[in-house]
Amino acid sequence: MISIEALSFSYSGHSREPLFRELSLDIAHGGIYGLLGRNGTGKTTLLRLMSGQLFPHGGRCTVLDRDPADRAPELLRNMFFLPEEFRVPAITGHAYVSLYAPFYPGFDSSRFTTLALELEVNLDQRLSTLSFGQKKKFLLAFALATGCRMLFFDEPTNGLDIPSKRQFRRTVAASLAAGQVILISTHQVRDMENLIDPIIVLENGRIVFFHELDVVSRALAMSHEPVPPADDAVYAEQTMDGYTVLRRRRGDGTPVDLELLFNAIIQAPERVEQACVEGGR
Amino acid sequence: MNGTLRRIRLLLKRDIAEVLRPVALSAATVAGIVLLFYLMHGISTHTPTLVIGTAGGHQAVFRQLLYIGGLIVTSRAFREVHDKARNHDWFMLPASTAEKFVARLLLTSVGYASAVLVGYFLATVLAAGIAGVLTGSSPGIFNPLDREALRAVHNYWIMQSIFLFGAAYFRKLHFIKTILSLVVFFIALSWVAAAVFRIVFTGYFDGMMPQASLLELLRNAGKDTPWHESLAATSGIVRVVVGVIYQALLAPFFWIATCVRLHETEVSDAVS
Repeated sequence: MISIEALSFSYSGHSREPLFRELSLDIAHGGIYGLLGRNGTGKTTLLRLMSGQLFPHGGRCTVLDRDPADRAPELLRNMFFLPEEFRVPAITGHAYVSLYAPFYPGFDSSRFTTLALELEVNLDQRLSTLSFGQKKKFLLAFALATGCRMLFFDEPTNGLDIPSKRQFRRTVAASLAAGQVILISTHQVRDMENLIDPIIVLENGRIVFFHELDVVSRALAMSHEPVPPADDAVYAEQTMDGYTVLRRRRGDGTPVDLELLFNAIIQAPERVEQACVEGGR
Repeated sequence: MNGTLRRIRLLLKRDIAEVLRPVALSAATVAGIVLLFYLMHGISTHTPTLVIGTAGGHQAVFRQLLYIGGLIVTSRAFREVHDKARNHDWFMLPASTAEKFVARLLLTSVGYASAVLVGYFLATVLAAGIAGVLTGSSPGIFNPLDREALRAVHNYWIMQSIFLFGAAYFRKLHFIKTILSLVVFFIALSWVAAAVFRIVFTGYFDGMMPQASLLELLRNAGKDTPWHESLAATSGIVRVVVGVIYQALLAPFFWIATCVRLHETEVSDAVS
């Protein structure tokens, strides 16, 4: 569905250090994918390359067997991008739907109404007068109702309050259609707990981790230990009362916390990858 | 083809809906000013300086509304393309770049000119009616089918094409930068013309200063010279060529350049 081969990209033409060099990624099945990475690693840029808002300097990127840089209407009507920052027109939610929904042949009006109700969005109010979180929830409801096969959400929980974050997770999880890809980019890993699977981690211009959580659960286990771990630990983090340790799974063990996994991938990508490849079989 | 026309119609509908409020507000303001002038004309018979109310005055006001308003509106046609917070809307809306361009082109050329023609006509009709009822006298109304008005619309489309390109090319201050670019272009053009002139009439100059005989020559269009015929023919051809380029080719050239430029546009400063 999304295929990226040896992609390279840098801002300001080729003069700066490339953000991506020989980046490859293949998303073959539907699902809610989490694109994780630290600030400035290029998550947003990668989403924009996938959605044709930026053009790669080298390599190849295809989405649904088309080049997104062509911005063909046939591809765009199967793709929705919810950016982190946006501005909405000074019209009501109802007017927005009547003007924008006809561009998406798969738009489901009744589904939109249900989602707007679930997310508590007032459709009679001018969108420009809503709070940032309300605007985001409106666009989220619209995105999920478009019936697009590709949904790109960039830092979707930024600006949402705690109940709205929970609502977001519930709504997105319930909305996934067969064969649909929801790609969520975030650095707020905790917000995505129990929602995203598989996990993709971007670091130093390349994909350093791409596994399903099932593989991670089979390969790794988490434990809390009072003393520094021996060398066999994949990763360890000092806490207030000891250490949180990530080890290769041997029998039972606490499932891995997403934030710890993310930190482990960033600090020791090779060790985590090796553990997942060997233990996930 | 049907899909393309449908999408252009949807884009026009969307664009009109989003600018309806400010456009209605501007139209109401202009109509109010026109009414005020008509009432002043009716109340005082000693207002010969009021331009509104005469055919020439109507044309002047119409041209100002058309050129100043239209070129400012045109300069803002692709503002969202360069705005980080809004450009995803432009890029991701399911229509091709060419379709989005055509919609904006129609709105800022035919759409705007028609709106000003009809709007100003209706404003003068309304103002004339109200002034007639209230003051018993009313100046003439604007004729939208006047040849001067239609010529102004044609010239507007030519200027509009240049400002539309500026709107796509520049990221900020599109209107001012387009005007500055035109100024720079005409300064450069006048230097080139002066250099060519100096080379062609090299015998008629003392250094950089033209001799009196050159001015005489130009005044008579070279009548007493052996190359009078060819000069007349050449200047005729130049006039036709320049006329065709300006009247028929300039606008399509800039429209196509704008579409190409838009197609190459990407988001900028996307790092979050």
